[in-house]
Amino acid sequence: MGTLIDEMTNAGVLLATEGCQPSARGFKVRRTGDTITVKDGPFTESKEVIGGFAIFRVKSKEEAIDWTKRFLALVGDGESELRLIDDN
Amino acid sequence: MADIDKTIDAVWRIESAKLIAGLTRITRDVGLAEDLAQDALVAALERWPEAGIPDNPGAWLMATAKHRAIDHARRGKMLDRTHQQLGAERDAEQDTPEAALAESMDDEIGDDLLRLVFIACHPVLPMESRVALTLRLLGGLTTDEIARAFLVPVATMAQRIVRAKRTLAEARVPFEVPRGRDLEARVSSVLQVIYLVFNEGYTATAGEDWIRPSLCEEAMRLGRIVGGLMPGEAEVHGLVALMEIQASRLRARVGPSGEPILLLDQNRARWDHVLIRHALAALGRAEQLGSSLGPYALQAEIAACHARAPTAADTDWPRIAALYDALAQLSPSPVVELNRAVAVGMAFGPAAGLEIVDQLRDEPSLERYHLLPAVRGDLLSKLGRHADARAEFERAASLTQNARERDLLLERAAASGRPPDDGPAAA
Repeated sequence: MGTLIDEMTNAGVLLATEGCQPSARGFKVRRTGDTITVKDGPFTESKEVIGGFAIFRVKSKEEAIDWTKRFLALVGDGESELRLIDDN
Repeated sequence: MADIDKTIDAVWRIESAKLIAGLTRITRDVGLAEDLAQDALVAALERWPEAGIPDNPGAWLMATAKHRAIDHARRGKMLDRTHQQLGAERDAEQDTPEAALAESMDDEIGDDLLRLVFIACHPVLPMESRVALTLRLLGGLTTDEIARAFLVPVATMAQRIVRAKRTLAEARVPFEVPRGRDLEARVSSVLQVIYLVFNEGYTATAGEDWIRPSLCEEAMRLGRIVGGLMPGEAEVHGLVALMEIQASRLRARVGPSGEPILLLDQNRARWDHVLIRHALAALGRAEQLGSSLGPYALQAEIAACHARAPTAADTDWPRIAALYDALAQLSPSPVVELNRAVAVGMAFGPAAGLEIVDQLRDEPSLERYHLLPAVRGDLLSKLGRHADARAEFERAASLTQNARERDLLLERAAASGRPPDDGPAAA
């Protein structure tokens, strides 16, 4: 993974990335009406657990997909969700 | 169909520089290397829509280009040495998978890429050719895109690139990373090329062809690439930080009707804080390298003072004044001196600023420079000398080429006749 991060950094496209610790060390804060509840991890009931994030600066959707393919080739089966950052 | 073209575009953008760099090492001819890479791209455009994108598109392109190179050599158009080298490489690949693996290791690709950077920015070429070649060979831009970005006809740009490649071949420019005393000057040429690309994009105005503003992105990407290739060069990190902080303000520097918004009046929430964070990290790397800061890093430090301040009122003006002082000693220029005057005026009062500005009044290079009277007018108005201030603002308005800026200056001239308000803007 370090090699891929280096490659992405040295290609000038990766601005930031962090990996998350296990969900056992996380917690969820939920608001329902006026009530706030805090629930400690692990989130065993969730089908998906966020493993980390990365911020890229690329020219096209296709370029973002290409880098994501290289990431998934390393981590194995799973899903990456790609979102655009608001820039107004 | 269109999707696969875009995918191939993306692959090309990621792989082309490495491909050309690797091929230049083999052929020792950057022009031929680029032709071979282009041939491989054409082959990909023909094959991939039917056969699908290969698992490792970069390796596919390289293998295809190498086959073309061998064909080319067989036709006797290449030097024997190259032929032998290619043959040996192919044998090595067939004999031992380890050799093939070793060949694709990042270190070597990194070295090749760096050599390519130094070739594209070689001082034997005129500056405009260095810029064109850098965007073509390292940025993966097409000749058409580069021509549009620099507002010249495509034929002119194509010729410029062809001539540049010929010049490199005729001068027998070696494919190497310069060493020793040479290195500093050559690095400086690389940084100059990248910053020129950035400024070309930065000065482009809204509504123009999108390709011009995108030069800023291109320059930042190139800067980060070179920073990765030469992590020990503080000025590379300084330049990356400088460009990123300037770019972080791109969307805040223009108002809804296209009017320019001065730095201190900008809405800081609209600055790009992801870019700023990355820039401050790059600047931190430059500082950690220990040597005294160069001009790019110093300018980045100045920009960082603004980026770090939550509001304009929080700006650390004494630090900015000190940094301009250092910059003026390192690379003295009247424009740096004028900026120092603004900072000194903000830090230590308008009289101190005016003292510096007044020493610039006979400076020939600033004779037609509208910001000199604009700054002087601002300092005079802060000192309550409104009639003098008005004359300076009017003079500044008559010198600027920018209509919106002229309006702004005339407004200030008119306001100078009235009792002063409490929030004078810095120039």
